Amino acid sequence: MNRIESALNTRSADFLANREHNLALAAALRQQQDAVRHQRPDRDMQRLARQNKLFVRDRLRQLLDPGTPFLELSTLAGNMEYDGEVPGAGVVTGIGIVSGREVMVNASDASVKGGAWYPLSVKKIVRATDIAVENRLPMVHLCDSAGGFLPLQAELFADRHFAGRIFRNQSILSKMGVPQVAIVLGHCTAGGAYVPALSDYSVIVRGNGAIFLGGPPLVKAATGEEVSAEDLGGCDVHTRLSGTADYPAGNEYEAIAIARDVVAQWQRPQKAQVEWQEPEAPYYDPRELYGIVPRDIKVQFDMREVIARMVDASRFHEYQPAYGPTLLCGFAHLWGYKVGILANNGVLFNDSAQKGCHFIALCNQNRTPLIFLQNITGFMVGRDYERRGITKDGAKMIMAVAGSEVPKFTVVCNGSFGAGNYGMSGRAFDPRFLFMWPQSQISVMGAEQAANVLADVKLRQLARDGEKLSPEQLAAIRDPVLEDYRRQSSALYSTSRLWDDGIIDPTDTRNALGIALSAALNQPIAPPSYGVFRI
Amino acid sequence: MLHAFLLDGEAHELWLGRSREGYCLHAGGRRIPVELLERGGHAHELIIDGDRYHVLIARRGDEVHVHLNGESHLLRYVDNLKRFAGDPMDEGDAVTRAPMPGSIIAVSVEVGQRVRRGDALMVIESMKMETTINAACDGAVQCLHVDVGQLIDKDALLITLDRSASE
Repeated sequence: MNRIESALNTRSADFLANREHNLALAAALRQQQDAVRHQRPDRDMQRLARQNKLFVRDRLRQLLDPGTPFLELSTLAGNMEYDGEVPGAGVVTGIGIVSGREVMVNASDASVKGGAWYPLSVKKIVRATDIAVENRLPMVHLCDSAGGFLPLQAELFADRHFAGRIFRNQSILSKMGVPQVAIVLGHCTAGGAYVPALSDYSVIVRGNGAIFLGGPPLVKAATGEEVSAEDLGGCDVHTRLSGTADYPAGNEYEAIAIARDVVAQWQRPQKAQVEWQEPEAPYYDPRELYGIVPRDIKVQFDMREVIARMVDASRFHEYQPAYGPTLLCGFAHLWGYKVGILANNGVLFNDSAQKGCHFIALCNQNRTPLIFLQNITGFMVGRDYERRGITKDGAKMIMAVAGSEVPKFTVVCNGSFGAGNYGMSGRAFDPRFLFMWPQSQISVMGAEQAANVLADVKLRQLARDGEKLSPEQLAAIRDPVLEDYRRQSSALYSTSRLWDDGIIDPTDTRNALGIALSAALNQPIAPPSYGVFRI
Repeated sequence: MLHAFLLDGEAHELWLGRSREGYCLHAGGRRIPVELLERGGHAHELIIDGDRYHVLIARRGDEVHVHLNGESHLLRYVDNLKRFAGDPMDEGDAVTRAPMPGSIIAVSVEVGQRVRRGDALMVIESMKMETTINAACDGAVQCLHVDVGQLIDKDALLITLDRSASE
């Protein structure tokens, strides 16, 4: 396998300007993540201390094996909602190592509104359980939630992927033989009561932990019965009398120690067999990625330079190097795992779409996981291309992506616009994980294109009545559209709404994908099968 | 969650992790490369961050006797389950209930009497079996809820112990 020959000039003015721009973005990302992870109003931290509760980050530190990586997902979820007052949507999720086993962690953050479930909290927990189901990942739930945030119940309760989905997914995990342990560290009220009840194992802390369908105020309102939380659903009630919880614990540390011992009893999974070799660091420095990604999204760059800073020894076996050159396809190793990479080097034409389709079939045939590196403005438009069947060729690629049985991973490196997002395994195509780079943008079309299309529609309406628009009137149409598109196509907006699994620093991509690949291989890979290709 | 060891009575939190080169010890926020090579019998060569030491190591259960630089040390592993086991101040332990319906055939303590965990408190007969009820914790008998000969239901209160009376 040949090493990619980098043509990058690390002394060029462009490289240096890009690097400065992207380093600033990476620093801003780290600062935002740090705030979400650690900064809380004093009164909230004091309340936790008064309640004799650990902060969620300290609980995680106790839970996870020291010195092992934790791939936190959707850290900035909710950053553009709820006036920014629900950091991380009040939940921490991620893949970590507990007692030597890969697990999905779902931890309530009681420092944020008592751990109440906002609509995006529910979406984040559902996503975590979806990932667990798709990848056969055991789960550890750290439960400490006040329950659904009642003022917004219409957006979190009834629909197919709302709160009920958490309990459905927990049940399916159990049916699949994938174990879960819940640690009850605070109150689990109403729906939240089912998280420990549906876990195969549960630990409950004496004093703080409680599980009940209706808390004391609701019971009083419903039947007039006055009862304390401890007497209604405390540790002794559930571990001695009801059998709703399994292990009593005297404090949080003991509860976590018991849960770690429970996980230590679980059978280690048989991983799907894929090609693997001893890992090797990239030959080219991943920090040079900062100088490659352009500060202006419209500027094209060679994805080979990105691949060279992501894969083992920077080696890349390029498939069909001369055909359909706007879509790079080829094999590489990432943290030792053999992968097939599809990366955009321009707009998708008929030939590039066909090439992608063929390459996906090859990877399914020889059980090679797929990585999509997106920088895509869409499929080519125009009379010639329609006559050559660009829609049909795009449909072929989408059919191959959707029908793919090997695990898929998507990284939005720059632009992700229009149907190109579909062909390159966007969120709707169930990549096992989808990450965004900080400067990337995602929308049905670019901001300027959308503003121009809408202005053009208005101009033609007025032209029918013989009217014209002044430059000011034109700007009044264009500017709000531009502004909305810019905001709503930003990576921060995407990650706020969980259209992705998190924004990552480009230099972390290799590690994030390594953890994601390892997790995905818990699920056996089915033989290739597709729908009908429109040949 | 780090492992806990007592070294000559003093607690240390440690973790042995993997690294590309081998093992590394996580201690006090630092990662120190370590290696332990067997040299026959109790003799070992211990390499800590490149420095080599000759040590004698003998293990018995959770205790490790280490002889290093002419000094002997006792290292004891404390399982986190035991280390964090909460103060068993649990009302449930202090209140003894009937494990099944039956009758009381003997009571071996009286109110005020001090008992230790495991002491026999009374005997009940049920289902052709005699079952001894033992104290679940140390304490003093605060209240005897039943008399000899009395019929009892499952979960009936038998004895309440006052745990604060245990020294």
